[in-house]
Formats: sequence, structure tokens, C-alpha cells
Amino acid sequence: MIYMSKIFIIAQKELKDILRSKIFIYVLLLLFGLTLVSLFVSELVFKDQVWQYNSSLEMLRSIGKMPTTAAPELFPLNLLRGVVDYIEIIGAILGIFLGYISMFKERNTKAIKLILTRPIKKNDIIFGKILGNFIFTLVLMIGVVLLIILTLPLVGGANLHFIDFVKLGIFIILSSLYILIFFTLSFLLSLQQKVIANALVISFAVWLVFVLILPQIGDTMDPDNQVPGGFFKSMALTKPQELKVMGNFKNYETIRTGVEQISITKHYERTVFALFGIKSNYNGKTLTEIFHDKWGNVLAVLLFLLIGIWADIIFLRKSKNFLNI
Amino acid sequence: MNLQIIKTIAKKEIKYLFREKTFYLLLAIFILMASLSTYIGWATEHTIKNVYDAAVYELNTNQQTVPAYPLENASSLAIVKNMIIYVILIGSLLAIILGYFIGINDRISGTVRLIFSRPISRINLLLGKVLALKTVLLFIVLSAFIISLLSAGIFHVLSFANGLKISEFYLISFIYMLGFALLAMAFAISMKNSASALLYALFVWMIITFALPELGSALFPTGSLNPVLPPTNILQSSTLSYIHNVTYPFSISEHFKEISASILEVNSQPISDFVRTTYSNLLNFLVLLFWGILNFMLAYFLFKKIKPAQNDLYE
Repeated sequence: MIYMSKIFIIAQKELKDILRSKIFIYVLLLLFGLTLVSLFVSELVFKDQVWQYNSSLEMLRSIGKMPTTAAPELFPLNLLRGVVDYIEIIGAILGIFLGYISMFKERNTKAIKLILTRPIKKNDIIFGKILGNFIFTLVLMIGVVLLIILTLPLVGGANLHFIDFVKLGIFIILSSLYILIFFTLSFLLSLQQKVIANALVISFAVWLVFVLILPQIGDTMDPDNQVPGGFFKSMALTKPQELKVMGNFKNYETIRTGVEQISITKHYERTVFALFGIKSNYNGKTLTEIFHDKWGNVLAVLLFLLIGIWADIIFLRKSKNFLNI
Repeated sequence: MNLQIIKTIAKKEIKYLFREKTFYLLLAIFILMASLSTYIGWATEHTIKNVYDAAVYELNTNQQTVPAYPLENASSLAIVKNMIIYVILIGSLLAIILGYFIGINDRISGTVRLIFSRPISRINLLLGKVLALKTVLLFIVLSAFIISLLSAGIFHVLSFANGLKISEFYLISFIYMLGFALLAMAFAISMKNSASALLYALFVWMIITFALPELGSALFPTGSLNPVLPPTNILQSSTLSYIHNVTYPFSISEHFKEISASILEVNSQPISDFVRTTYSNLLNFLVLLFWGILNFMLAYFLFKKIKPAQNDLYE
């Protein structure tokens, strides 16, 4: 109990420090602003698709034909594709800054030396800081989701059902864990680097590779992405035919998906895209079915986080120079 | 203006930069991606041709109509097209880090007061930093240019005309990246701490790279980094088309993409007739130049305002 209270005290201090920093207000505003932009654009795109479908329908009826494609159907959570993308990119940046600032303050004020004169273990510091930052990211994500819940009916006229709220709840937790992975990375580097500003730059290099470059390579190498509207659609192939054709390119696909698998962002994205039905074959599926398919991706997110926490603990324990900061 | 002083300052900044291991890290990523980009382009093009052949076999077996190869008229330089994205992604971030280091290094090492105790004017100091920035950036871009030429030669698409096009593309890339480097330098010489300096430069980068293309062209943030087109043709929607026309002048990355796509003769995203007729390649180029000049002016303005006695950072 005493052990837990020490962790909570450090977490509380961490939270206070974060909320005092102006940087996080700016990140928050940026995230909120981009969420609104994204919802607005998604809504316009959907309305345009409906308008285009109705125009085609009218034209076909005028020449006495019937449409072969179904009318666009609004799944409200589908409109969150852009928001998920922003969490992938800005959420990771936020995690990096949280980790950096967390260590930067201790190094600058030398408060860590004072803290360690008290009966507090190094592990308490790590767990306290992780807990404080996790609570902050949870609050941040709750804010984003509240904004989504308030905005969706206004811009899209979309009504959310109970299951949508459950999915948004899972999204909050998963996104917070994803942001925390980048926190552990930058925290580790901020401990390890002599010049703390370098920790920020190295974290960004890692972020660049894992969040942007690896998914970009995977998507670029996807044959279906080479033609506007999709290669297989342009060839008028059915899904079974597409799978049969791609069966001849197993090695290429293994390399392509392998590149994607290295990226933690892709694991997070695949889970959330399935959850929100952005990957259309998951629309209408139950949560059990979705997690039956995506448990590997969820596990990967958790595994990356555990590795990050473990690395922070090991480094902090072994770091002889910690008190010389 | 004293050329000798400017050169001395530039030399000092370049020496500092090449002592920074973290700078090498980002440089290595950029050079690696420049080397890989042509291979990725070639591998994808090669595979899509084989996928097409397999699809044709499948369609013939089922006695279905066989459409023409969709990439029949693709430019020979299409295999280099990934570099457009890598300049937007890695190149501009590398430029930001470069500008950040050059702007912050005196402050972190606590030498701002010492420098200003010498008879050096602010404009000479700033021009020295800008000269260092341009020199290093030119070195980086030239390295990527040589790598692209070599890899184009390896994959048999190198001709005099193509070489010229690749060089034009890298010239544009240099100007695009310089704008970001100057912006980061402007923040790094004036912000209260190093983290804010980097964060604000990244904010602008994110808005230019992701937010404006989404608002103006309905491209999803990660979608704008891939060769997939927007989920809808914005030109068919009057509202989206209107937003596109209004935001396009500010969407620096789209200006860059547009000129680069035109130089390398690859497909660009749909643009409205208004944008096509108003923004010629020359005007797109001028917008990029203006972007660089604007950031230089910002750096000059912020540098004039700093108080040397309070500018050192003790982090």
C-alpha cells in the first residue's frame, strides 16, 4: 500500500508538471483543430460520394437501366480515418515530448537527486512517471473522443449507437498505450544521452522510420495502390480472383507485409481501422470477430510497450551516472 | 556586410554540425532512402507487370474481357517518384534538424554573449549561419542527386534528358528544404527552450505536410504520403473544389509535389482548372522561393529582437 502511494505521489507530480507546461496546451489545440478539420473533410467527401451515386442513378434510370453498385452507406466511425492518422503521427510526437520533458525537468532542476535521498526506489520513479503520463494521455484521448461525439451528429448527422461508444472507449485505451510507447522511447534516450537535446532528435529519427517510412514503403509496394481507384478494380477482378492472382506473389507479399509488421504504427492502425470499420470488410462485425482477427496486432502494441517499460527500468537501474546528471 | 566574417562563422557552424552524431543519423536515413527509392520503384513496377500478366491469364481462363495494362504510358522516371515523398518526409525533417542545430548550438554551448562581445554585427552572424545551412543542404542534395543518377543508370532509365529532369527535381527539392531549415533556425535562435524551438517547427511542418493537403485535396494524412489518390474526386464537388482553390496557395507541399510530378512526368493528384491555369510551373516555383524568403525574413526579424545577455540556454 505504501509502495503504491509513492508511485501515486510521483504520478501526481508528473501530471501537475505536464499541465503547467504550455507546450501541451498547444499540442492539445493542434490535435483538436486537426480532428475537426478531418471530420469536416470526411463529411464533405461522404456527401460527395452520395451525390455522385444519386447522379449516376438518375442517369441510369433515364436510359432505363438499374445500378449494379450499392448506395454509399454511412458508418459514422468510418469518418474517423483522418483522426486515426493524426493520432498515429501527432500522438507519437506527443509521447516523445512527454518522455523528453519528464526527464528534462529532473535534469535541469536536479530534483532527481533530492527525490532519491528519500526512501523511494528507482522503480517507483519509473512506474510513477509512466502512470502520470498514462493518465494524462487518457484524459487527452477522452477529450478528443468527446469532441468527436459532439461533432459527429453536427457535421455528419450521424447517430452513434451503444456499440460505437464501446469502440470509442477501446480506441481511447489503445491510443493512450500507443502514445506511451513513444514516451518510454524518449524517456530512455533522455536518460542515456549526455546532451539531452540529442535525445529529442534521435527519438524523431526513430519516429520517422517507424511511423512514416516503414508504413509508406509497405503501402507504396502494394500493387493495388499503383492505379487510381485500385489496380484490381481497374482489372475488374473479383476478390477470389484477386486472392488467386496474388497467391503467385507470396514472397513479395511476405516482404511487403514484413516491412509493415516492423512498424508499431501499422499494428495500431490495423486494429483501429478494423474497430471503426474503416477497413470495409469489418463493418457490421462483432467485437469478438474483430479481436479474433486482430489479437496479434493488439498483442504487438502491448509487447512494444512492455519492451519500452522494461528497457527504461533496466537502464535506470544500471545507470551509474544517474546521480551525476 | 563583411564576407570574411560570414565565411568564418559559416565554417565554424559546419564544423560543429559534422561533429554532431545525431545529424549523421538523419543524414544516413535520407541517403539510405535516396538509395532505396529507385529500387523500391523498380521492384514495384516489375511486380505490377507480373501481377498484370497473372491477372490476364486468370481473365482469359474465365473468358472475361482483358483491360489494357494500366501503366502502359508511365514515365521512365516513374521509378524515381518515391523521392518526391522522401523529400517531403525525410528531406524537410532533416532540414528542420539542420536549421535547429545551427540556430541552437551557440545558445546551448553558452557562447552567445561571448560572440556578441566581439565586433560582429547581427546581420553578419545571421548570414554566416545561413551560408552554413545552404552549404550543408547543398551537399546533402548533391549526394542524393548523384545516388539517383547512379541508380537510374543501374535500372537503365538514364539518358541526358532524364539526367536533366532529375537535376531540376533536386534543385526544387533544395529550395523546398531550405525553407524548412530557415524556419527551424528562426525558432531555434529565439525560443525560450530547445524543445519549444523544435516543436514549433514541427507544428508548421505537420500543417504543411498533412493538414493543408487534407483540407485542400481531401487527402488523408497518411494517404498523402502514398501513391493512392484521394477517396473522391474533389473536382466534382463544388465545396471541396472551392476549398481546394482557396487553400492551394498556402499548401507549400502541394506546390512542390505539383512541380516535381510535372518534371518527372508522373501522375499528380487532381487539381482544379482554376489552379491548373493560374499556377504554372513558374508560379509554383515562385511560391516555393517566396516560402524560403519569408522564412529568411522571419529569422532576420527574430534575430534582431534577441537580447544576447539572455539568449544562452542552460539545459
